[in-house]
Amino acid sequence: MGINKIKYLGRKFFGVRNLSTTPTYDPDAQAYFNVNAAITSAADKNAINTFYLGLKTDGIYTKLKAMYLPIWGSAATCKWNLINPLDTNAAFRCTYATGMTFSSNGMKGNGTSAYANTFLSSDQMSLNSLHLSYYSQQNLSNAGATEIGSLKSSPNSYSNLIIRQDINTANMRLNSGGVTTNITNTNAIGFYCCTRRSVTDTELYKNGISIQALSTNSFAVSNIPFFINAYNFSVIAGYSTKESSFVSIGSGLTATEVLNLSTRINTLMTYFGINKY
Amino acid sequence: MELINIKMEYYGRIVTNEQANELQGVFFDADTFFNFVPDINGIYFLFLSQQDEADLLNNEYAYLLEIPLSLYVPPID
Repeated sequence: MGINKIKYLGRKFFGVRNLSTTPTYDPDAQAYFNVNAAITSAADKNAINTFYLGLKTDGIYTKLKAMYLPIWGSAATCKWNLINPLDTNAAFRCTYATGMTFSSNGMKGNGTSAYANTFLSSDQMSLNSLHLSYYSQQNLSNAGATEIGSLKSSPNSYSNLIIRQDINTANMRLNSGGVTTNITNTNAIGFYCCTRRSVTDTELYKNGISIQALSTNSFAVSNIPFFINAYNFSVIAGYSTKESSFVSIGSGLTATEVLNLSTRINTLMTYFGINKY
Repeated sequence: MELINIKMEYYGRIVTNEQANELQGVFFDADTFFNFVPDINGIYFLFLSQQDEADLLNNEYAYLLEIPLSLYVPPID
C-alpha cells in the first residue's frame, strides 16, 4: 500500500490530519531545541543533531559536563548548556556580565567587564581529569586575556585556558598549584582544548593538534566557578576581547578524543559558515 | 596572516561608588547583570554593549544610559 493511500485512509477513517513523518532527533538534541527559540530551521536542527550523535559515537558526550554554542545573537539564546538545557545555575547555564556582544559568529568580550559565569567548578569533575575548550573566531589579544578561568588559593587550584595574550603567548593550567608555562602563539584563531589526564599529564591542543605537553602535578580541585572571557578569582580579571563560538568544560580527553571533538566542531562550524580551520 | 594587537582605548560610563555598590551583580534582565569595574584611580565604570543598551532602554535603569562616555584607564596589574 502506497504512502498516499495510507495517508488517505488515515484521514478518512481515523481523523488523522497528517501522517507524514516528522524528524526524530536525538533526545538530548531535542531537549536543546525545545528551549532555544533561535533554532527554528530543519537544516540547523539536522546539523546540531548530527553533532550530538557524533559526540556520542565518539564517546565524548559523556565526558562533557557543559558545552555552549553561543552563535544565536542574544544572551537568552546563547546561555544554554547543551548537555543539560535547563534554566538553572545547577544546570550550568550561563549568565552574563555587562558588555558582552552576541552575534551569529559567537559571543564577544569587551576586555573590561564582560564575562560569562558557567556556575561549573572543577570540583564537579575530578582532580586528575579535566578539560577546557574554546573556539576563537578572531585573532585578537589583550593584556592578561583569559578565555576560561577559575583560580583559588589555599589550597591553590588554578585552572585556565589562555590562547593569546598581548605578549603572544598561550598557556594552560588544570587543577594546578603553580605558575603558568607560556608557549608562543601569534594566532588566536581556532579551536583550543587543554586537558588533564592524570596527576602529571596535561596537554594543550590547537585544532586537534598538540602544541604543548607538560608534566605539571595536579594540586587541588576548586569550588570556584569557571568564567568564560575572564578568570574568577578574589578579584575578577583577565577580561578577554575574544569571540567564542563554542566552549566546553568536562573530564579529561585523550588525544584521539580531542581530535574527534575538533573534527566534529569543524563540521558544525562549517555548516554555520563560521569555521576557521 | 593579519595580526591584531592594537592598544585599545575603552570608553565607559562613570558611576558613583554608591551606585556601583548598590547595583553590582544586579540582574537587569533574566540573563545579564551589572558589572562595574574600577579604573586606575578606583573610579567605577560601567561598560555596556549595544545589546545591553537596548535592553536597558525600557527598564528602571534606563537613567544609566544618560551618563556620558569617559575614557577608561585600567588598573595596573
